[in-house]
Amino acid sequence: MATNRRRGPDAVDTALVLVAVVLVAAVGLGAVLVLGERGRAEAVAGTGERYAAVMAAATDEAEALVNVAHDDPASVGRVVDGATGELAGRYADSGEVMRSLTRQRAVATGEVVGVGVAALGPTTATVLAATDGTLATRATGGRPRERDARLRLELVLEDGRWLATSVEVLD
Amino acid sequence: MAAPSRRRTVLLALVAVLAALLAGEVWLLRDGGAARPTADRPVATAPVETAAAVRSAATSTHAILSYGFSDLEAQLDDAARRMTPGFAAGFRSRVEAGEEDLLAGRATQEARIVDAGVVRASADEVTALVFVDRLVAEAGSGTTTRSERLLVTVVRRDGVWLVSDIRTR
Repeated sequence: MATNRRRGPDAVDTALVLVAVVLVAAVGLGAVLVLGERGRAEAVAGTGERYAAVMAAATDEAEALVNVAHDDPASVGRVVDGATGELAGRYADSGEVMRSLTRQRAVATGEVVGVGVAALGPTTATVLAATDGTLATRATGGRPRERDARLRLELVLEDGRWLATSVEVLD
Repeated sequence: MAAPSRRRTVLLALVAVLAALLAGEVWLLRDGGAARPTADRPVATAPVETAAAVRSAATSTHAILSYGFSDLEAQLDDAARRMTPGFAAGFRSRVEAGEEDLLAGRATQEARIVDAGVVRASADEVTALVFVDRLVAEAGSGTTTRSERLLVTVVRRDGVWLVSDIRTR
C-alpha cells in the first residue's frame, strides 16, 4: 500500500502540473501577443521607410525650388525632374515660371534646413520644408536679398517615385 | 524519498522552460519591440500615435508662446504644465527676463499655428516642424507678425506629451 501511494501523484506534483498548465496558457497568450506586436512593428517599419522616402523626395524638390536661375535652364529642369502634373507643367520650358524668372532676371539660391511630414497616405503626402537662402531680381538691382521660406509641398507616388504636384509658399 | 521522483524532475524542467519562455515574451512585449528612429526610418511609430504627438506639439506650442503682460505668472504656470520641468524652468527665466519690457509696452503675443509635420518619432519622443505666425501687439505700436519655423520636441511622461525643447530653424 505504501509503495502504491509513493507511485501516485502527491500534492507537490499536482501543484506543478497546475503551474505548468497555467504557464502553457500564459505562453500561448504571450505568443499571440508577440506575433501581433511583431506584425505591428513590421507595419511601422514599412511606414517609417515611406516617411524617409517622402522626406528625401520633398527635400530634393524643395532644394531644387530654391535654386533656380533665369540663365540656368538646367536649374529649372531639376524642379521638373522631381515634379509631376501642374507643378511640372508650370516649370517646363514653355511654362509660366520660366517666363517669370526671365522677366525678373531672378536668381535664387538656398538650402533646406528642415522637413516634416504633415500627412502621409498610401499614394499622397503633404510635407513642410523650411529653407534658408537668397533671391536676387531686377527689383533688387541684382543684389541677393535674404529669403527664408516656409514651403508646403503636395506629393504623389507615381511608378514608385514620390513627385511633387504643387508647392505653396506660406509667407 | 529525499530525491525527487522522475515525474517531478520532468515537471520541474517543464515549468522552468515555460517560465523562461514567458519571461522572453514579456521582455519582447515590453522592451524588445520598441523601435528607435534612424535615418532610414525617421518615424518609428504608428501613424495614429505620430499624428497625436504632432497635434500635441502644435497645441502646446500655441499655448506656450501665447502670453501677455497681464497676469503673466498665471500664464506661465499654465504653460509650464505643458513642459518638462527642465524646459519649463529655462522658459520661465527667459520670459521673466523680458517681463519689464512686456509690462512697459503692455505687450501681448499670440502664436498662430500654420501647419505642423513630423520630423522624427519614437514611442516616447517626437520632434515636429511647426510653422508659426507670431503676432506681437504693443500699446501704441500696433501689431507685427513674424513667420517662424520651429522644431518642437515632445516627450511622453506618464502618457502625456510634454514639450522638452523648442528651437528656431
